[in-house]
Amino acid sequence: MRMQLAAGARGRGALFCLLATLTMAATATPAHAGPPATVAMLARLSNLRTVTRWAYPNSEALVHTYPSPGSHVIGQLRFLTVDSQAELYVTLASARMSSGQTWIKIELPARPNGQTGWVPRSALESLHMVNGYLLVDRTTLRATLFRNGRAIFSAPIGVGKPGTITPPGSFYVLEKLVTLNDPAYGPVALGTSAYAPTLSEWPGGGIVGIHGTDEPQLIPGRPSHGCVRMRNADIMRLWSLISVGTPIEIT
Amino acid sequence: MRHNREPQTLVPAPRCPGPLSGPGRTRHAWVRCTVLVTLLVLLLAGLMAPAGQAQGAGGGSSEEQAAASATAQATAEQGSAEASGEARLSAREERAAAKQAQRQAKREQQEARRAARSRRSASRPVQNSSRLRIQGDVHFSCIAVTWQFMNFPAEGTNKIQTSIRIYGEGNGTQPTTIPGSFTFEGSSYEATTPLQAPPGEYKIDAWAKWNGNGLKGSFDILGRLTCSATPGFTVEKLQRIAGDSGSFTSAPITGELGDTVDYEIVVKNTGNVPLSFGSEDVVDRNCGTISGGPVSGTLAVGASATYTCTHVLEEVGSYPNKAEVSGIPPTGDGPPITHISNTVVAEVPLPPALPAPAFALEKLQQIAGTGGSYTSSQLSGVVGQTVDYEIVVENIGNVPLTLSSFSDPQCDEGTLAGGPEGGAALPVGASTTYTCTHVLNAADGSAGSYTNTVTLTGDPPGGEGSPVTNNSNTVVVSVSPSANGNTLSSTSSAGATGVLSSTSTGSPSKSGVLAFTSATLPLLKGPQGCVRHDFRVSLKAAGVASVTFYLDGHKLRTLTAKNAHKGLLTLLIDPDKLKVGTHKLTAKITMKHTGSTKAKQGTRTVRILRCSSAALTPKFTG
Repeated sequence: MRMQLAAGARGRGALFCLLATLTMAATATPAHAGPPATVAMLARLSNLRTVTRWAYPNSEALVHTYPSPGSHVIGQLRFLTVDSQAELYVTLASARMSSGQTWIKIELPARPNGQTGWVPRSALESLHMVNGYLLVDRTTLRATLFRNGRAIFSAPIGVGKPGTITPPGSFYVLEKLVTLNDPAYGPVALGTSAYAPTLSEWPGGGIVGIHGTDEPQLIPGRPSHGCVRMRNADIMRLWSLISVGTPIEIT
Repeated sequence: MRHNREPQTLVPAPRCPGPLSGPGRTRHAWVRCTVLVTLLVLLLAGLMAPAGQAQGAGGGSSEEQAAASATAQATAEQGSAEASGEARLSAREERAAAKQAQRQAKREQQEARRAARSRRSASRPVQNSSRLRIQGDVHFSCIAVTWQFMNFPAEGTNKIQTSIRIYGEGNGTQPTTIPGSFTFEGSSYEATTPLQAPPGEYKIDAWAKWNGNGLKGSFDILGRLTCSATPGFTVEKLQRIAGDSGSFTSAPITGELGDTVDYEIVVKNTGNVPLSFGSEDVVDRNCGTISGGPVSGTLAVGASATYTCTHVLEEVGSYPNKAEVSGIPPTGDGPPITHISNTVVAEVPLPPALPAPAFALEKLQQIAGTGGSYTSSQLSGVVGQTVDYEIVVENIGNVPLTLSSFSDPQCDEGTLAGGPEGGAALPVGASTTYTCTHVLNAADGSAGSYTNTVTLTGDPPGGEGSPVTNNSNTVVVSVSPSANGNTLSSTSSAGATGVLSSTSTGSPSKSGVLAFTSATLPLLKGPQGCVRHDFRVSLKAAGVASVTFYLDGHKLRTLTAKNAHKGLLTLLIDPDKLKVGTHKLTAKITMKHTGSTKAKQGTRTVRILRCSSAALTPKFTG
């Protein structure tokens, strides 16, 4: 696929590996009818750095472990977030099967963190694209927003304290909110696809947000329950620069 | 700390204090000897005048007078003793005492003359008549001796030779001499001589001398050191693109996707006890397998060792990297020490924007009026039924594409619709949908089934690559002969798709379909994501006689061709009273009829997502 040119040599290698894995997986999966489908063509849709594609769901389709309706179901698309905002899904790759059907690999904003799965192409609306990502560095306690490979914003942050850490991994911005009634969240907030590892009973399921604070003196530091806190001026600036679907890398 | 003193006549080197101890100082705090060497002196070598000459020029000084006075006093004492005859000493003892007094007086006289000569030389015009006040500062610690030289000539090259002599007190060890030399330009210079003295008591003697650039002088400092175990090390991370001929550097480097970065992690023992390093004591999560380090696992005092690792640049952007290293002192000499290295950065710029035209092509189908959804799977139909096709094109390259040469042998003539508006180029990342229909005919029934594949060409802008032609997946329809002259009608279908139905009876002929100028229902376009404010749904007006919109089954409004604006039939909807969640907006479309054919009707549906306000109290963990 020409798309892979932008992904570079390693991207091609990874895709070939993925293709081989998918071919084996798909052929090993018992099909409901007809011969087993194999992957005829695989395309990388996002590199999660400079090119990331995402989509709203078109239906509440089941999410499978492999691009095959006979594979295990690991989740289901949903239209709304827990804050009743539009749910969206970052797409990683597309696979055209020998049967002619196209499947899309997506990141799942669900607990446990880091799940990916496949849905039919028809389960998603058209693809949107973003060209940057947000790096949350828990060591240096800074968040840096990159666009087309260049840092365009950086600010100190507060992250989770021991016991309620901010989870590492690859996530994305689900929603942009204007916060009300609670100064602890500052003026605006970003909802992410990350879940706090230990606070599953938290209202909303323990979603990790990026938000302002009424305790700026604790930033930089490790004062939170898993959320990423920023000084209010910084979160306002980030909120204006970032768009939904932007990948978040927490290291 | 530097002691600034006024220029003195000086010359004896100040003595350093003994080992420091007391409040505010740690047990192994370094003993510090600070000395200001102030030389009112100096001098162009050619102006170093002999004492007699200087004396002639400068006249008597107070020092000379004092020396003369001392000599006179000694002589007077000697004479007095001889004259009185009252001395209790023997004549031999008296002579010895007199000689000693004379030697002492002579020494003092020489010292006074030497000082006077120096002072006179300094006060003499030196080229530009300036007076140079050379200052030196020496700091002793168990780890290093730090030198500071100030007020040297700013012009020319200053050269200084140093020597440090250190020996253990009371343990009979042989002194160790550490020679050194510094060359610098400019008036000030600071340098360090590593000492790294093992735990113990030491005497230390540090001297420096200079002779050149118009100056000549020296100082000699003595001191004592009490050293306890002071473990310490430095760690530095260096990098280089594999295969490059340059040396390793801590500066940012630039590579390309797929390049390998070689890293060196250099640790140096800067303390005064050996340190142990294990393989698990080097942490570098962004690097591959780490190898190297001290051969025996122990790094001697003053020694260095290098770890190596590599990383392949996989993404565009900055790749920062640092290492964390822990060293373990001998038992009893303190806890392990951990240091984090400097951060090195490898930059991967965006690759050249090579044009890469590419698009994905997918064909879907459904039997009109069955209420099903579009699929790429095999369908079954009977002669007379209509198969609706959707051909979804997505630009997955990096240049816009103008789509052309659409070829689908099973699309009935005149039924093709959709695609980029006005034939415009399909932007990168965008998708578009073509639609067409095929009425299952007797030939299809006789064959039992037919397959269908779309071929499409995407043309990039001039000079941005070659046209790309793709074939879609192949869809299959099994066809059974019609049992009777059935009536084909449709109900609305769920999803953002629609069905075409006919109000005519019997098997519609192909010619009947062709009678419509735009027999295929136009797509209904609505908002994606949340609706919170007024939003629009629209469809192309071409061929449409009227359209009635329904929201969750409730009729909203009917538009006719007369309501078309800029080729679109558009309805503005206020979602204020909608509940949060998904809603179905359906357009019942009646196409214009032409010729002898009757009007056709069909439906298109889009999903509307009503969200709550984005101004709320989030359910985050905080």
